[in-house]
Amino acid sequence: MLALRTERPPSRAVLRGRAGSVNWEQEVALQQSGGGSGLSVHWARAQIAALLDARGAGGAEDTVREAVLDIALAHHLVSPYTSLVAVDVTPARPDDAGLATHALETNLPAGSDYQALLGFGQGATAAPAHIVVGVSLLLAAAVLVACRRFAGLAS
Amino acid sequence: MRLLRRTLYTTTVAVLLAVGLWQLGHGVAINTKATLAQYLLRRAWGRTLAGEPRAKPWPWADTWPVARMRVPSHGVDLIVLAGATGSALAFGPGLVSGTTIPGAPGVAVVTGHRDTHFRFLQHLKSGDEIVVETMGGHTARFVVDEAFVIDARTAVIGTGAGAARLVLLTCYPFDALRPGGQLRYAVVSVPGTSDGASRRTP
Repeated sequence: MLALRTERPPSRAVLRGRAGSVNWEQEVALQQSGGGSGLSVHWARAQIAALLDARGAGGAEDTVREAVLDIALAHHLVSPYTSLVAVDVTPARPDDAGLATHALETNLPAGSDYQALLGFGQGATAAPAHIVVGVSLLLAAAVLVACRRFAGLAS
Repeated sequence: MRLLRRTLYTTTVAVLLAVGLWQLGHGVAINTKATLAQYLLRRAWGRTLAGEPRAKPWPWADTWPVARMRVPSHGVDLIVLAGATGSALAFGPGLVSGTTIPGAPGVAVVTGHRDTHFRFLQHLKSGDEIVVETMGGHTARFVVDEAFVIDARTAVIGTGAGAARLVLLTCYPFDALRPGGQLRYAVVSVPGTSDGASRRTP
């Protein structure tokens, strides 16, 4: 990262140095780096870190806290003294409104069909079965009585 | 010994008579209920035509008449109920919920019991006219187009939008003793009159 403070930014900068025994050179185009937005946050983070370090090096806790709070609040940063709280400014449901309640259609597995599941209903009653059983039993009773009569006559 | 045999005989005859009468009465009651209910339903249908929505045929009924279906060639005159639930089908054929009113675009499915109201379905043949009177006094005329046997476990009747169709559905075979079979008899009717004026729209 390259920080530069000047009245009129030059179009390019050339960085030169030595990496070990090798000469090193890097050209940086300054016009392309337009207005960034994260620089202030980056600076604030570094500032907070430095302030917190100062606390370890003998700085008064109260003054460090005040300084960190100023920076962290101004840049909306999380620090040992600040935290982020999200507040829903446009709630979907006001506090005094009731919950909306409505029935949802039951989702069927893919490929299923209501009609195939629910079928075609029952198209018959048990009446014929009842009638056949009833008539059979009555006939059986009649046959029993007739047999008895016949046996009685025969003897 | 003789007393024991006599007692056994008397008991057997008594039990046979009692159970037989009970079963016969049960079967006859189902048919009687199906027949008598139609008279009450006809009065409720009159109230429906007079403008009363969901006119209940009796105070505790959980269904109401939605149409009157007549098949002049077979002397059939039935009140169709809302929903094809077992409790509705005991009193009359039911319009399957989710299907359209007969005459409106789409498929109207009417289910009935094969041994009571829809016994006549076995005699319906292609070209027979079905007249359906719906709420508001509209009359839709259908002619029987085709009839076939389907398996309720696999068959699906498409009920989407489209030309008006009337599907009459009942159990199959007609003379089976026990209910609960898997086969259904479907009679498909298309709009038209028996003189063949507008038979079979493709």
